[in-house]
Amino acid sequence: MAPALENEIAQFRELVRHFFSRFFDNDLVAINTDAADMRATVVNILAMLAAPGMLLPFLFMSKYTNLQMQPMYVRDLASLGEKEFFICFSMTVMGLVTVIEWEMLFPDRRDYANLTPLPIRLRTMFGAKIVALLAFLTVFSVAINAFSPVMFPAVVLQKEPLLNLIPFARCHIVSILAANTFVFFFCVAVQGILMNVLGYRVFRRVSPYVQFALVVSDHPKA
Amino acid sequence: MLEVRNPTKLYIGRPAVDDVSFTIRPGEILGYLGPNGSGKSTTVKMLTGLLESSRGLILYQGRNIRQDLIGYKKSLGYVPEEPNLYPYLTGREYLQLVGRLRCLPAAPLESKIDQLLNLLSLHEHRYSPISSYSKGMKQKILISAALLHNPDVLVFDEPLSGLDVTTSLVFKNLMKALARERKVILYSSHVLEVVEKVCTSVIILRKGCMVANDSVARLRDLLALPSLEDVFSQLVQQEDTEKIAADILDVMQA
Repeated sequence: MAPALENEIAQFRELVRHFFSRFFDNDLVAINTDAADMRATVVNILAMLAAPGMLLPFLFMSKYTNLQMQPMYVRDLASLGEKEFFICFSMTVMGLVTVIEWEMLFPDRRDYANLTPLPIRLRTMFGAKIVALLAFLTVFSVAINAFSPVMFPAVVLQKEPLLNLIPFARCHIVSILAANTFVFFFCVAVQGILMNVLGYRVFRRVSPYVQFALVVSDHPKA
Repeated sequence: MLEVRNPTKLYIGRPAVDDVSFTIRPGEILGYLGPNGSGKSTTVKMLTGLLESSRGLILYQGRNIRQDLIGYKKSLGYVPEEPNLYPYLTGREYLQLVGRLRCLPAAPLESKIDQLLNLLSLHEHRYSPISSYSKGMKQKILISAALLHNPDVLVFDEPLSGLDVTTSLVFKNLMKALARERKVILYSSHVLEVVEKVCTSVIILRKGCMVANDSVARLRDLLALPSLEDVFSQLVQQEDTEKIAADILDVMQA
């Protein structure tokens, strides 16, 4: 491999790591903490996000125990409300997390001051930022939905053979990931459009109000 | 050799820097002076590739820096005016980040970082987050970051701000040593005394235009003035500074 390309790949990896860790450089996570404390806080936050997916399916246990004698399509129809609930819950949490990370969605002034004097191509910088965004989306989507794709189908199907659980879980995962991706990139797009339309100064001024509006309207049924 | 040929930077049609030309040869330290808003930082940003000039050229080794900006930045070390560092990183982590992004080999990089932190009395704070650093400590990190890759061109924008007396003395000696190593150095500052002591030549800016470009000694001779401060006052200051000071006192006491 040519040394220039090798260097660019090394820079890309370093930047992805750097941009990803910057997502946790905010007052909620990193205030007066070192890297080890910050890592512990992040793991705690991810665990907190994962917990509802573990516990909530048990709330519906008795309902589906009573429906066990019903044919599959009846249980499937009966579960529509809960399916919608899991999608809404996942979108809401993802939206909130994205709004908390509002300042970090695009390279900021600090990145400009520190990274622009270095010999890094713009394509490397923006490519790394996009990959860091996707990594962030993946980590939080997985955390929010770590248990529900298995726990919820298991509660609905109960004594059905394990093989029947797979398509149910697959649909659950696809719907939730698509919903999370939509809400995440919706926030990114809103910010990108506002930055370009309003210019930096006006954007800084209206930014808190936009964040407020996004939080208030975050629930998909709102 | 770094040649700056008539670069002009326009902000909404108004020139922040207008037609300022100069050359810095290897081993030279060019002092870049001017009052607030005279265009010093804009020139520095153009020299470091952070801003593109509206007109004119900046040539390094005879080539327009814009034609190979990445190559130029590889040989550039820059200490900005404001230490806008990442607060959650430790001093050591910041230098590692800069070194890795400059693709320096890992083992020599670690050793260089440790030695620089030691020499700049930051070794015991190397695992503390930058958010807990004083302005002077942040400045030392920026200076270390600018020197890590042994650059041929160095651009210092108010590098002494916040530094203690000892480190300022170290820095002044370092500038002379770097010049002996035939580095190309631009030193932008308000501290006339330091510029007078370390710079081989001086440019004085006023409202984006160059009003002087010569050696300190020749400027003093030409204007028959005893110090660079007097030369600067003669060329730049249009106001009666003593009267302004007296007026401020009057306002305070009113």
